[in-house]
Amino acid sequence: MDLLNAIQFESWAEFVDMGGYAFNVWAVYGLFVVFIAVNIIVPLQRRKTLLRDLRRRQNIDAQVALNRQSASVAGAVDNAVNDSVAETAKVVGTGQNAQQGETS
Amino acid sequence: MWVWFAKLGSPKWFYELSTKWLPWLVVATVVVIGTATVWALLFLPPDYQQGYTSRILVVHVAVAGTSLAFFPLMAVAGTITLVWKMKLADMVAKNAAALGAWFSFITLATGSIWGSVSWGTWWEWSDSRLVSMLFQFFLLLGVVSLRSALEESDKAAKACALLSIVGCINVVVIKYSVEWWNTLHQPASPVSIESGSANGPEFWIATALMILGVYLFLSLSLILSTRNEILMRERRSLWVQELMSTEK
Repeated sequence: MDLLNAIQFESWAEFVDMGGYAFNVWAVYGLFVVFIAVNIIVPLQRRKTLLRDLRRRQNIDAQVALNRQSASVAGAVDNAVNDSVAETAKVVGTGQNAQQGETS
Repeated sequence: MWVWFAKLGSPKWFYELSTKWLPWLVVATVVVIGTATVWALLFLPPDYQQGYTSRILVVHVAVAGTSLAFFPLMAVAGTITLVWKMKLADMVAKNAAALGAWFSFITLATGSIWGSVSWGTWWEWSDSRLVSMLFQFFLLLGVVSLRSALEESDKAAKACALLSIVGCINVVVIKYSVEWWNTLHQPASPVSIESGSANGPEFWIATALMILGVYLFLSLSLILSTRNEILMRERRSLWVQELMSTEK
């Protein structure tokens, strides 16, 4: 095949050696791969943590709104909300873990 | 025209459109960079002077050339931010600065590794191309730290936009440095259709393909980080709140 004949190397070892410049050639291509991988993986990881944090926040906000409604009936808004924020953070945290456990 | 322009600036519109196009962009990036890399490593004939180290230049030239796009890109985005206060433009500019610093660093590193063979030195302070590229690296780091140093995001956006516009001067210096002061870094070899010449078709087609691939990668990385920025800044808006409950 023409394509195979166009390959510049006779053997695997010759390919690795790069005419004696193995270090330089492979260092550059290695750097290139790392450069691409980092700049794709980092934004993907960031997205993951961002979505998790935003969802947690959303759940807490919803809980706070609920608690505020019931607390205002009793007439002790501030204390109850403050207490429940801390409480919800715990509950939401464990609640999410349990949910993740179910789905995965 | 203005309706289209306003739409383009809407983070929601950009987010939804990019969701549709992302898979295709990923495929295109992988195919083009993959082809260019295999071509360069396996099929490129050894240069009569550089031997197999000319393979380094396919990556170096592609990344270096693309790194020059960052300041013009940030300047255009900055101008849009300053004149029309478009939120999306500033989000792109913010993420471009850090990515541009990466591009400049990789340009310097790969150039150094090539120079250590061909010039017999890793670095030369008297070469204008090398020093102006190093300056671009520091300028981009400067834009990144300026952004994080200013508390008020509106002020930070304006300051970064101004610095980006001024920074374009350095791009011109980098571009013409090899012609204005000729020390170590050679000017670009003229593109030739003659096989086996300094910049023959085997070399420049592989390089052109790599340049296209690197631009695709730039867009992909920038779109991914801009999408994060959109979610972060628009987190209180109704559409992001709804998105949270549907998207995984």
